[in-house]
Amino acid sequence: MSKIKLPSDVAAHFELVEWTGGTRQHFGKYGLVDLEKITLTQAKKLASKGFPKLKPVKPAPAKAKKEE
Amino acid sequence: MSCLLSLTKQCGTQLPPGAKLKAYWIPISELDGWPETRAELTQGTPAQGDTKILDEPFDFVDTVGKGFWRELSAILVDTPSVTNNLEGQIGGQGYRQRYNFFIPLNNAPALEWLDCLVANSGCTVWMVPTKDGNYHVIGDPDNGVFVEVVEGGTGTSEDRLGYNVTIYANTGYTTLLYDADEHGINLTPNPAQGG
Repeated sequence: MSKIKLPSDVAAHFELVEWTGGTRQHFGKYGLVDLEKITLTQAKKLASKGFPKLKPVKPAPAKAKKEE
Repeated sequence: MSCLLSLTKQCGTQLPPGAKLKAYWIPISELDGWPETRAELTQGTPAQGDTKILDEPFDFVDTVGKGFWRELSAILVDTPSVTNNLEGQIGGQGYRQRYNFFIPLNNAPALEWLDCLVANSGCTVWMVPTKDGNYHVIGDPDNGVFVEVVEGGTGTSEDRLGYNVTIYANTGYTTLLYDADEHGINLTPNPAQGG
């Protein structure tokens, strides 16, 4: 299991998909991706271009309010 | 296996020639195995060209500070090229994979790099991005990349300062392509344990 993690602000919106190797990699047409320095803006741009290693995190379902 | 199929080119597709101003190399000793091709990974009948595409990420040794592709970005514009030339006599022909580029430097780091390049002749694998969007892999773990030509220096008043370099590998086949868009080129050395 990879120990590599996204910065917390990015991790709130995206998760890594089958990332292997180190934190800094060149991904062809997507360019250089550095997981230690990636910003949320950069992550959103990559995702909008179809970058296969970032998957949007589904927001947790809101808890139903308990009726008394 | 009969692999000589029809070959077509789509009209309207621009195919710019030449290689980009960056290349990657790694010592063979830092590779742990070799990626399988898309044909090897395909269940059923592979598509045309799949035998030439490495479709897995590279695996590396886990030695601290090793296991990553080095970048060469000191390449002069319009000089780099990748070629696959058929050589040898009829009955014994094979392709030689070559990469030619010019380094516009003659300073201490460049001279040291050129010394180390020759010292590692036969011990590396290279990857070269080309302007048509492909990543050509030169050499493999059993057929390392050798330095064929290094020539240059200060130049005269009308010459370039720097070095013309040609490296080659004799796998016998044309270069393989790596799907860098999907699998990435790892540029990070292995961290220290617990790092």
